[in-house]
Amino acid sequence: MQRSFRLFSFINSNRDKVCEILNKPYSGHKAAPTVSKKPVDPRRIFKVYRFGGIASKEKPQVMNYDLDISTCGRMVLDALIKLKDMDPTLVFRRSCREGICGSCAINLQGSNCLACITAIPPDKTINIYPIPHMYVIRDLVVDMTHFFEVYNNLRPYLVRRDAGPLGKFQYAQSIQDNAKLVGLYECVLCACCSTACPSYWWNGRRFYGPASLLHAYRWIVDSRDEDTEQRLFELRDDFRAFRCHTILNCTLACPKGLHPGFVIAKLKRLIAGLDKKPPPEIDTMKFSSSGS
Amino acid sequence: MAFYCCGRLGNTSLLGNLAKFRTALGSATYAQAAAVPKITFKKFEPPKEEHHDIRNERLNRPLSPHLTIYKFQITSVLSITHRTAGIILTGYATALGLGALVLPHDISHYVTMIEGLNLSPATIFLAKALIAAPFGYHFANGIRHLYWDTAKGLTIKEVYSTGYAMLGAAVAITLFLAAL
Repeated sequence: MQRSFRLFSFINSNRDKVCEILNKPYSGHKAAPTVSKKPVDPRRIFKVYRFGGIASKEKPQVMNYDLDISTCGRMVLDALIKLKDMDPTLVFRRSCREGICGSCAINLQGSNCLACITAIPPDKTINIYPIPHMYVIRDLVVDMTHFFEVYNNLRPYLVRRDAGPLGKFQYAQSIQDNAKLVGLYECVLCACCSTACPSYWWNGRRFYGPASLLHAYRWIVDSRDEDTEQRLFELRDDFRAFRCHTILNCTLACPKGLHPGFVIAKLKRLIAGLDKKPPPEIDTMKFSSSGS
Repeated sequence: MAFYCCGRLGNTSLLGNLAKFRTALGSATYAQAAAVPKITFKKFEPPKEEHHDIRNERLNRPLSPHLTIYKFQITSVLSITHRTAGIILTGYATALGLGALVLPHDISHYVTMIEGLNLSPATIFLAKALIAAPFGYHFANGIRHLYWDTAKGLTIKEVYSTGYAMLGAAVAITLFLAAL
């Protein structure tokens, strides 16, 4: 469902133009799951992927758990916690329970999602697997080191040519320039999109994946960042960005409603030189003299 | 603290003899137990650089299932079909090229051979449709891909609608080619 957001209202001459930008909904669209009218039996079977870890010397298997979901909260994470009450050896990552930390990414009924913000689907059997094509540490916990290493390598911070006194003044950014970051800064690095991409499955070591590419674009398109040329040069490769074949599984998987597929298409145009990053609308160093 | 005071007291009068006696007996082991625990220092060695895959292979960690469990969605299915159609078309090109190179007769000979089979027009139409299907699909989806390269038409709604439109166009192209 596409909703438009009015972040704030203000009175000035370019009000309509800016409001239009802020009213722009996320490009990602999630079709609302159809809610059947007849009541579904709350007693469900949870088929959960289990693996005891490398020390246990056992093979991965799928265990069945019977759970009455009327005894637990609405979300899959609530069900997992209830299952952990039943079987304390079940292990999964979780932290914020509100879809902002990105810890609880799982594969539910074949698609990736965040367990804490995904309602238990109205099916009799619920399949829970770890996010695909990642090394499993234990049960639903996977090794995310490479995913974060790639993210760190793209220098996810502002780079300015003359790094003056940091923290002395704010870098000025117009409202339109800030609005360009909407749909980019909300990414929580849950890896739902990257692990949904078949190209990332086969080329995971050299292809950056939709999550990192979304962040690469976020730093390139930020008007306050001055290292655009170097950032684009680092991406000019056969593998880093161009292993994306517009499969678009990433956008379907994103639990925050972001649109990595669209962003990567824009990024590819920037890398190829077909598009140029526009200069900042207002002088970024505007507040340097006054200071505060 | 109390023990220390006892020691102090021991420097004077007869209580001191008592303290000295106790000190001589138990102070050695008691002092060691109450003192700082044994600390060994090791020189810091940064963790050795190891490739992600090599490290996980060494640890014998299994890979989480992917193709076997992931949902087939219209996006991925249309994409892999595009790739498969492309491979089939490459097969056609290779077959035609190699055939032209190594086969003894002219192409008209083989056309006559197929005509000689006396297949019904329906069978011929079906065969032509099957052969033209990869071309029709790859052509229509190729245009969709080129449209995506302009960074347009990438919202999920548009992906679905252009997807269905593309399937219709693919069928139309296939039927057109089969009718030739």
